[in-house]
Order: sequence, then C-alpha cells, then structure tokens
Amino acid sequence: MLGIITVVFLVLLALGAPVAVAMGLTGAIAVAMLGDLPLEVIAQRFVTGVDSFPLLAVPFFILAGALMNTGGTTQRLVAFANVLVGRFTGGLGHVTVVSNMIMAGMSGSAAADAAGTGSVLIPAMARSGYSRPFSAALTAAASTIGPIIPPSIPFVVFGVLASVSIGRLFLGGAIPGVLMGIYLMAAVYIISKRRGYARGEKPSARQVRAAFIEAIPALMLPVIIIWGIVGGVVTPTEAAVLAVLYALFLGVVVYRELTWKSLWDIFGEAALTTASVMFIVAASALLAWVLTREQAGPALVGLVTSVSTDPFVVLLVLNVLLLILGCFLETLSLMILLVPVLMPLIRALGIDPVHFGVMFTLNLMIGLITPPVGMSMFIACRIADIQIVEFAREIWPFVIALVGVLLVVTYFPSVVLFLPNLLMGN
Amino acid sequence: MRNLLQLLDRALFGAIALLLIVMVADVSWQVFARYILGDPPAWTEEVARYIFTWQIFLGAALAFGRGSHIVVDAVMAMIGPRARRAVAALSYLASLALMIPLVKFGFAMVELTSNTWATASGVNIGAVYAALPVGAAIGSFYLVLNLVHVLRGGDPVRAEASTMVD
Repeated sequence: MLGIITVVFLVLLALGAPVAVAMGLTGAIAVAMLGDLPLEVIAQRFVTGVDSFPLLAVPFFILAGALMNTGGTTQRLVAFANVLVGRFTGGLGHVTVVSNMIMAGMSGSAAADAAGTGSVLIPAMARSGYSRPFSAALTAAASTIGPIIPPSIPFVVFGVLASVSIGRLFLGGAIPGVLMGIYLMAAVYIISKRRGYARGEKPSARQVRAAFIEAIPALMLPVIIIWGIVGGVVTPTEAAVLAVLYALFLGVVVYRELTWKSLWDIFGEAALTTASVMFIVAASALLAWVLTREQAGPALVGLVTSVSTDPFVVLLVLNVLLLILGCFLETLSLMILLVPVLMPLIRALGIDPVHFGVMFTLNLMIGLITPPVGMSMFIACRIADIQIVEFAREIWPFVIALVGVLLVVTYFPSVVLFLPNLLMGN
Repeated sequence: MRNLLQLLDRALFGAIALLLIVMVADVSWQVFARYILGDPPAWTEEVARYIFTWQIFLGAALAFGRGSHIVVDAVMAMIGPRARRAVAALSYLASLALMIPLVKFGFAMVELTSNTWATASGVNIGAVYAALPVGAAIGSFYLVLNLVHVLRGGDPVRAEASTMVD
C-alpha cells in the first residue's frame, strides 16, 4: 500500500499536476482502495485540514510581505542596509544579506523576501559589475533567512502540526538566523576578494542618519511582533494581523506609496497565493491522515532506528534525508507529510521538539535554493533573467555555508534553545 | 464566451479579496476587543476560520483558471511543445479526477452537517462545508475549458509562479 501511494504520487508530480492534486488524488485513491471507510472522509479531511485559527497567520503574513514590497518599505530597508555594510569588500553582496536579515524580522516568507530585495538589488548589483548568476544565487540564499528569523510561516505550520509552542519556535530561530547571515557574509567576502567585486563608498554621517530616520518606522515592526508573541500578549495569528495593519499604515500614511487600486490588487493576489498554498495544506491533510492510518510513522521510525538509535546519528540521517527530499519537493508539503510521521521518533529519542522544528525548517529552507526545484531559486532566476544551470554553478558556496549553520544547529541545541528557555522559561 | 470568462475571473478575484479584507477586519476587532475593551467576543475566531475556508476553496478554483497552482515543472521544461500539450492534458484529467469526488462527497458532507450549528457564532456548519464542493465545481469548469484548449492545439495555461509563499 505504501509503495503504491509513493508511485502514484510521483507520477502525478512528474505530469506537472498541481502539488495539491498529486497529494489529494493519491490520498483519495488510497481511501478508496482501503475500502472500509466512508468516502465522505475525503471531503471531510480537506475541510478540517484548513479549519484552524493558527493557520490564519499564513494569509496575514503573505499579505504583510506584499504590502511592504509594494508600499516602499522594502526599498527603505535596503537603503538602510546599504549605509550599514555597503562600504565593505563585496558591498552590495553584504547589503543583500543584511537587507534580508532585516526583512526576515517582518515577513514570514522566503519567497516574498527574494522577490522584494531581489527586484531592488539584483539590477543594482549588475550595474556595479557583479555577475548576474552570483547576484541571483546570493539573493535566493539570503532569502532563506526570512522564515528562520521570526516571524515565520513554516514555523506556524510546524507548530500546528507538531503541537509545539509557535512562540518558542520563533525565539528559537533568532540566533540560527543571525548565524546564517554571518556565514553567508563570510562566503560573500571570500568570493568578492577573489573576483575583485567593488566596495561601495563610505557614507557620510548625514547619509547614515537620513537612511536610519527613513527606516525607523519600518524597523518598529519586528519589535512589535516579537514583543507581542514572546510576551504572550497576542497569539501568532493576532500578531500577523497587527503586522498587516502596521504595513498598511506604513504604505498608506508614512511612505504614501500605496494607492486604492494597488491595495485591491494586493489583497486579491495575496488571497490567491494563500489559496494555492492552503489547497496543498488541505490535500496533504488527507494524505497525511491515510499515511498515519497505514502506520507509515512506525515504518519510517523502524527504518531510521535500524541504522542507529543514537540521537546524534539519527539527526544526521534525517538531515541527509531532508536535504535530498528538499531538492525535489516543496516546503509545506514536505512538512505536512513528514512532521506527523517523524514526531513520535523525535519524542521517543528525547530530542527537544523546538530544537527539531528549527533544524527541520532550516533543512527545508536549503531546499528552496537547491536545484531542480526551489521557490526562492525560481524567483531569483526570473528577476536576474538567467537559467537554472547558471544559478547552480554559483549557488554551491552558499549551500555549503548554510549546511555549516545546519550542522551547528543540529549538534549544539543550545543555539536554538537558549533564547526560548531564557525568555519563556523551561 | 471570453467576456463571460473574464467576468467570472474578476468576480472570483473580487470575492477572495473581499473575504481576506473581512478576515483582517474580524481578527483586528478580536485584538481590539480583547486588549482595549477587555471584552473578547466569542464569535470572531469561528467566523474568521469559516470565511478563510471559503477564501481558500474559491481561490483554489480561480488558481485552476489562471494556471497559478504550485507545480513541479521540471519534466515539462524538458520536453517539446507537442509532448507538453499531451502531458498537460493528462494533468488536467488528473485534477478533474480529484475535483469530481470533492464535489460529490463535499455535497454529501453538506447534507450530513446541515443540521449542526457552530457553538459560539451560530454559523451553520453545512454552509461552511459548501465551500469545498462549490470551489471544486468551479475548478472542474475551468479544467474542462483548459483541457479543450490544449486538445485543440493551444499552449497550456500557466501563470507566473506565485512570489509570496514559503
């Protein structure tokens, strides 16, 4: 049964059927083949799979990201990052990383960050003599910081699936996210030194001050979100709606770049994007339910523990498995399929679920930039107008840097757990 | 016919935009009522979830029309235009094969739940479940059109990949 499920699923994916259809149809066929279930369960799982208040954070964070990209907020953050790090060797490369780190504190989506910062910085880098494939690879790699530094759409979904505190996951991602930025900047520095990429001019004190003042209103947003969630003042969904209201306020009142017409389009497009994401969630809820019923969890646990029961080795095996799957599958579907299957193993081995959640998500983020399939890669290639093959030649130093962070996160759990334990107790 | 399709596209786009605005307003009101008025309403969570359900399934229908669902197009990128049309036709058939049970069993769920009401808001659960068969029916309509389009030799409908997920 599990074998048939896998084959049907892969054939449907290869046909170019929507990911949601591949999952939903596989699940529906499995339910029909089991024969002992009322078929209404197919429809019932689709609806109950998305009927969740925490998941409402998904459309709100998508909406907030779109409002910032259109409303002038992103450009101001890039300008601010430019006065901070533009003067170093490989200046615009560092600006890309730092912009994404700041964006990460307000948006929960790597794809939104890649689109927002890439459309400003990839053309700017091309004008300053950086190769287009390098700019695209770096933009995609830096965008993966977005969902690791809070807030984060994948952490919300993980928290819902694994019944883990979303606030703790958010805090747990903060230090690893900063590490990702540092490792990527080191890679940028080494490459730029070799190729002689330019450094920017040192800004005057007045320029620094002007860029900072322009960016202050935007920089308040992460403060509000983190304080709200960590302080237990609001739920993640409520924090996401505050992010929407604040991004609206910035775009309409402070920077005045949002018009009524553009607002209507942003809401519609965000709703459409949400629907295609959540349709995957609905369909995978059905498939995950069938897999659970067919004891896929124990089967996988058996497979992994037949290699070893040492948490050290198991985590290594899982990392390799996830990195490979991440090359081919898309983030949310992997999460929905694997989290319910893996959590019993994680709990049995005594691994902290928050630690695992951050490690798991970081794996999937690397999957966003590894060919042949990866959303951040697609977006960066489209903005830079380059082929995936050219992208692949430039991405590997950044993949190595991020795998370095992954190893640190895997084997030093306190990198993840320090902040949540400090601020939210054990 | 083309004008009618444009009208349907615009109606669905407007509907999901409006539903998202209502969701933002609903949860904003919840935050305001809880933290400013100190009197959290019981109905806001349920109403937000039910509107979300409609937004998802109407939006998913429109995504079939625009070809903007998330797909893995590695294979599609490697083959010629003729083979691409054939593969696209198969993928539309696969999507239809999912839509039809969703319509059928979706309506069955509506009947099963039409006598239940949500505890806090009093919303009829059947009305919530209706989102699925209605969305799947509109999606089927678009899929049949897409199928006819490629069978007549047209290129598969494909929108730019969405830029806002993950």
